Amino acid sequence: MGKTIKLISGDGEMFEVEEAVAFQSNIIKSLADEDNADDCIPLPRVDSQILSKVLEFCRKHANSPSVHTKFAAIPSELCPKHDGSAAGASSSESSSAHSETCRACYDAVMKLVQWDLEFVKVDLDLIHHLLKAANYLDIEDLMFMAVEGAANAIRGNNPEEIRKLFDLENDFTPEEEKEILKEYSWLDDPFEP
Amino acid sequence: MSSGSPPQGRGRGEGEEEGASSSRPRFGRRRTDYPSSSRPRSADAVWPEHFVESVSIRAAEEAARFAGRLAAAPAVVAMFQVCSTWRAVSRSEFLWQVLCRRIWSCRRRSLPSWREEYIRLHRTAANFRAGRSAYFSLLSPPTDDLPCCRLALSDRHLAAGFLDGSVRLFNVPAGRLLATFRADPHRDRLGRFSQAISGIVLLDDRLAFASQDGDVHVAELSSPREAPRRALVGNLMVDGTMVDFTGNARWWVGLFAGAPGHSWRVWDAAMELLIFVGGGLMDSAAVVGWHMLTDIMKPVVGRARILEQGVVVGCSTSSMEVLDLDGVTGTILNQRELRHGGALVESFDAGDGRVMVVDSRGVATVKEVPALTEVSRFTTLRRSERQHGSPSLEGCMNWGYALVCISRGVHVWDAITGEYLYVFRQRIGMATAMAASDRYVAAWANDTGLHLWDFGAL
Repeated sequence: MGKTIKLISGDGEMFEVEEAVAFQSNIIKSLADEDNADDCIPLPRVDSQILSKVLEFCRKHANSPSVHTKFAAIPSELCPKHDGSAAGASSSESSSAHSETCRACYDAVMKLVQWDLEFVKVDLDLIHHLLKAANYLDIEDLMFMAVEGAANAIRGNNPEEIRKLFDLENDFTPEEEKEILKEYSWLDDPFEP
Repeated sequence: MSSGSPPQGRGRGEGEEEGASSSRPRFGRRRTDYPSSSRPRSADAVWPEHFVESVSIRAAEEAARFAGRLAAAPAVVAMFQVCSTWRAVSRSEFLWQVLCRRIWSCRRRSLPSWREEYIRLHRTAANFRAGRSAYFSLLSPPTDDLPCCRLALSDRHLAAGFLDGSVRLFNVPAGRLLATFRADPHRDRLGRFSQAISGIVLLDDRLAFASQDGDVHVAELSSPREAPRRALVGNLMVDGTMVDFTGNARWWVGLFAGAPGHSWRVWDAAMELLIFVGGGLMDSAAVVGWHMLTDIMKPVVGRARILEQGVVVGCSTSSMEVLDLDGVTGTILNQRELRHGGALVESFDAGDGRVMVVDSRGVATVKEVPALTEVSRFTTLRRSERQHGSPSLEGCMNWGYALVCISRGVHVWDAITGEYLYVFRQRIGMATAMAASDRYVAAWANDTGLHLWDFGAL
């Protein structure tokens, strides 16, 4: 095990993880950079159940490039097939062009994306907690996936169904509802199937 | 909303309170399993406004991916109808700007707000899907028997290149003739059609046109009466015939047949400097290439189209090739042999990161660039039409629709799903040049002249 970081959750539980895992969080990374004798970072706003889920995500992403925020661009140096022995043009080769034509990179990215989608197939309460934790800890990929999870939960739902999912009240007056229909009348296409 | 449940939280965006979570997280269970009265509510449970904005954008993208771009707007509007706080997100210009970029690949705004721009893009797309357009005949059947061989469209102009080396510029949507550009009529000619236009690069402020002899001229659109300047001098005997010419503000690309190993020439458009020569795509068409100078050849032997992501795709009768421009210029990123009797090169076109081509059986395929993975396929010819030797058709494609002109009309398919949509009401005969942009379709037919369809939202 390489260098480790100790994290203390809001409810006092200690988690020891590798640096590569913890540094997925930009906040933890900058806190660890400061002189800290114990290498022990308190995270009062995240409780242990959420923190363990967050760390599960970070563990999976520890040695992969960001697949969501940079549109799956894998530089050829990280390609599992090419293994750093790619032709000399690799340093200036356009990353997205490489990963789009390299089967090995494409498969690796797809596997990670699938895992992430399964990870956020949970109820909106958990997504809400993950989002707050990701926001607080500044973990880009997890924030992206929380949004993804919520969007997936919403998919195909009408406003009433969305309200039920998010536990929200319809606070429009009948006049306001009419106003909205008028505002978006351009969506009503007589020729739409 | 069930009666008897405690007051439910509103989706208030401001003042989200961070504090120790008081609700119990549930892993993997659907919310509907729990009666609402058992869940304590706190200010902690509100969803921040920027989250609603991100989810709205994501929901629109997902809808577009699954059901087409026209499904994006209904998905995002459903979010706005949830409650008044979520509706407030609809006033975010940032949201509409991101949606214009992600759903429609639109980065420039022509209307006062991004919201209006989105509505315009959506309604234009709806018009394309439904076949609603305004039709204009720009040049009626020509008396001087001068065929048009190239068409190019931009936001405000249509340029038509002719066999005699002239280029006519029209404004769109009005369709008024603005200028006729001619290269120096006294320069050397080798063969009757060496001056025929092989390609046009139409930008907002200038246009570059190339002829089969390899000359490239540049005309400033703001001074239409000025003679065009010769930017590049072709070398016919050495380079062969320039079969096609494509480009944008950064590169000019010429496809040549006649000199083996020199199919591609790439120039830096700003410096007008040659930066790459090479490739064998047109090697097998060398002899035919020379004949093009004295004969109006059908079928077309090669076509090239530049794409926004900084690559150019070339198509011959037997193969397709993707050439890198932005990375290491001249690198072949991908190559594909075209089976089933080869391609009908006059059907080849590109739009929004994809290319389309019809094979000699009449089967059209749309492929993603640069991976050349198939996106959709559809049949363009009836069985009876396939049996009449080499079929004659012309094709073009924009961001979402593939158009193929055969003798019985201009037919339209959804380029992403392959679904057949409709045929244009106007029967123009057999087109020999076509172009499609996000808003317009233009076509030339020798019998009926120059036609323009405007799908812009009214």
